[in-house]
Amino acid sequence: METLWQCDPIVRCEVCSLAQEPNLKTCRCARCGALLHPNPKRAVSKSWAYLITAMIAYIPANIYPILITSRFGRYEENTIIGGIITLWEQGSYPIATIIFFASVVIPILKFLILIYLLVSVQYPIGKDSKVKKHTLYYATELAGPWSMMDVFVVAILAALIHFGNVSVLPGVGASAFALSVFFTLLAAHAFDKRLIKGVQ
Amino acid sequence: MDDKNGITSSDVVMCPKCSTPHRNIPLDHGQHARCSTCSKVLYRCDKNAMDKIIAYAVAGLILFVVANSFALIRIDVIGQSGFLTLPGTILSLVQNGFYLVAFATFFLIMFFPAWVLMLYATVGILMKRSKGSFWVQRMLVTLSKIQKWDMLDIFFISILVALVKLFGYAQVHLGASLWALGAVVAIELYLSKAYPPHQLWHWYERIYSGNTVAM
Repeated sequence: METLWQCDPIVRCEVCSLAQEPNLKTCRCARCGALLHPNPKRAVSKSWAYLITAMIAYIPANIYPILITSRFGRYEENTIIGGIITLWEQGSYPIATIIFFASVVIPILKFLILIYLLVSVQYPIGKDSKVKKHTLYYATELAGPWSMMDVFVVAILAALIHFGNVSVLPGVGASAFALSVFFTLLAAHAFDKRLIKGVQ
Repeated sequence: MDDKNGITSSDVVMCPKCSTPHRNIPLDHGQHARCSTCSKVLYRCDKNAMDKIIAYAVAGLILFVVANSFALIRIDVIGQSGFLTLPGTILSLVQNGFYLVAFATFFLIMFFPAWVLMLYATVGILMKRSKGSFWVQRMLVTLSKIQKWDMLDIFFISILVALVKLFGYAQVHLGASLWALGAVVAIELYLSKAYPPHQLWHWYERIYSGNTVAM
């Protein structure tokens, strides 16, 4: 672990931004105790574990309904993709596109980007420079939380529409999707961008 | 790097983006230091910064209480009406049996946003009085860690998306709390951009290391 950054005489702590000469024994920040450099094996396996959990959770999130509308006793179940298609057919193109991006494009892109970054730590694949990979990681961290939007919209509609005849209930897919987003966020955080290496 | 008054501080400031080291120099009021390589702002000098932070954070907390107290939106459908409040969203999830999502949502849209504002306010007050260096350090570490779990802005946009979804179906009335919530989101965005953790750490070093020239 020490050999990886012995060439850096001065390091900046991610948490408290203190520029310091790293203590090679503890690898921790002198001020706030945060890890100055991630333990590669541990960070990578933690990140893989979270990522695989998130990908597994994404399957029931799409199979089970995320929203259940009951009109006069008739139940209508809506999955994520089904809801997008319905919105599109109804003519709400902008909302359908937003939800498509937030709930389908962004999560799948996040999975692919994290897989790419994780594999590239261990095996040299791709020709992307360190800066490009950092940009990818930063984009993932930025866009990640926005996938929670779908869960919030479901919660809002369910809280709002509770009348005698018509009511909206959340579905199991909402829980699964929330779990998937949560674990993707954990995976991105556990990954630690300092593991990214440039092209050899 | 040295220890003055028990505070670890450094003569060197490294750019968060490109890691170029710079000397940590004192500035005059209104000046700011930029990275020599990528021009990102490294730190600023603002003698009134703590006042501003306290003002914004306390305003945010008051507005957050308002946002939680009244209805965000009201809808009328076929003579029946419903309304949405922030705690009501969580309660309805609990009533429907979605304990996990309710638990997570409570933290994401109520607990962490309030905690972030309270941390900003407390850090502002302590640093203004130049007291409590140990607590300020602990609070800044906490702030760095929980800021990413504050999803109030995403929730606000979600309300707008839900409104558009309801547009054709129901009469929608916007409640006072919605504007208050928008103001809280704006304040949190401003605090995170104008007074990010690395800037607060810089002021922490200046204030508590016994320099006669603070900030």
